[in-house]
Amino acid sequence: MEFRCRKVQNCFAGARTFEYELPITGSELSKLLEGFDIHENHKFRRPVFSAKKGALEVKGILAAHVVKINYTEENWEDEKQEMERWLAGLG
Amino acid sequence: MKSCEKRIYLNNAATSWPKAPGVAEAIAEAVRQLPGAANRGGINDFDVFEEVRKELAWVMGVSWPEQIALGCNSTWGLNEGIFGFPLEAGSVVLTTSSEHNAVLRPLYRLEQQGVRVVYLRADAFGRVQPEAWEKALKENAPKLCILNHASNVTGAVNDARMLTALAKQYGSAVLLDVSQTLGWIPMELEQWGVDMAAFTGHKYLLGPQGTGGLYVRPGLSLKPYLLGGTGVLSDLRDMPEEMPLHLEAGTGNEPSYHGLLAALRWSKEHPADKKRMDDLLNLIKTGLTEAGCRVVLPEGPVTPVVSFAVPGMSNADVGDILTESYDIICRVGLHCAPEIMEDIGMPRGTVRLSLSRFTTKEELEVVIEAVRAMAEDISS
Repeated sequence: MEFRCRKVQNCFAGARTFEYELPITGSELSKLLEGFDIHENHKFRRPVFSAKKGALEVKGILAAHVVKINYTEENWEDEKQEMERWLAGLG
Repeated sequence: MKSCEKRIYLNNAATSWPKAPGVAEAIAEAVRQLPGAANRGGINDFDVFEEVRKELAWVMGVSWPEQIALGCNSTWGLNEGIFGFPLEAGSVVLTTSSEHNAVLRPLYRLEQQGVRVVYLRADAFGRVQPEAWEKALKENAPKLCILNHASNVTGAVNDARMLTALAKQYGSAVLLDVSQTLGWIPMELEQWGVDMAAFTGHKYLLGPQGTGGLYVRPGLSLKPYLLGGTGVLSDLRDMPEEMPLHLEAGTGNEPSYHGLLAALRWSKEHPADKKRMDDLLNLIKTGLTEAGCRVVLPEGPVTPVVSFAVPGMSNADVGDILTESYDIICRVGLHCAPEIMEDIGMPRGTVRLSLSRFTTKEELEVVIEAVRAMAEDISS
């Protein structure tokens, strides 16, 4: 699967957040994430999801094609590489 | 359900949007026309920088437009003021914990050069308390005091007149950061005795980015931080002594200053309705408080800035939901003012909404609806 990635510029200490534009929606992505604790919230104008595995978090709008991923501060580079390999391997 | 078509812009403390009517047209027109001959033209040539200086002098309450050096933003002005002021190893600078990194980072550099910097803690709303200020002046005898007119995090406005007067009693010069107040809070810098004031054109002056600078009182000579061409007196090996050339190296951002001029003239003819803004601020502060948020609520004069947190949610999540689910553009985090967070008891930062004179009641009602939905979700 092809994707675009950009670091999110924010003002938090130690932030390691990246945005990914995907050919699938957040809802479709969340169903592919194995071992993640997934929550959907339909109370907001545009419903959202979050998927957590330890400090690693994937979140976004269920119907949108852009998601945010917060990587673990200590080993964010390895985690990012692993996540991007997995995304690239999706059909 | 209300329409999601329109974005709600509440990040005016970062940069204003929309800009004043006429700004975009003035910039476009300036780009199309022949460049001006700033500092080189004759008496009949239109000098946008000169016109901007006159308008700024009126807004700032100073008599000498030529003492206003124009650069690219407040950070430029602060760097010129901080590094240009005659300090040496052993000199003392007094500042506060509510300052922006545009003040703090230059000061950390000065500390490496042997300048002693005293960081006075602000109160729980980010305001400098006059008693603590006077005590710090008495104990440290600073050569220079640097403080903001208002916190960019809480909106609390400092009593700049009183704090400057106190500094003067103890023989200190004052550099006031008016980034968050110029165009919003009336000021009389000359009457207050302020020695330098750093300002920006793109926040409450409603002008474009790339404008801002430094006012320097007559008689105070700074060592220019940025050196270069001035278009005149090119035979000199140093910057000309006369202001504003003394601090203005290089070609100015002429199109943006045409935009700022349009904004300044528009604002002069259309003063903000402060009663309406007070009502809007009360609406949002009350709405957030009633929704169960922790809201920073300074008493007394404030800018239209509200910092808050939703208990049980990270600021990043609140910001993401506001922006992505409700099209509300706000700012989350430390807001480039990391030291104030301890004072206001929010070490992980805040969610900040900053209004402008163009903000509407309907827009704020959407914010309250969004925050209520988050708070209810947490409690359910």
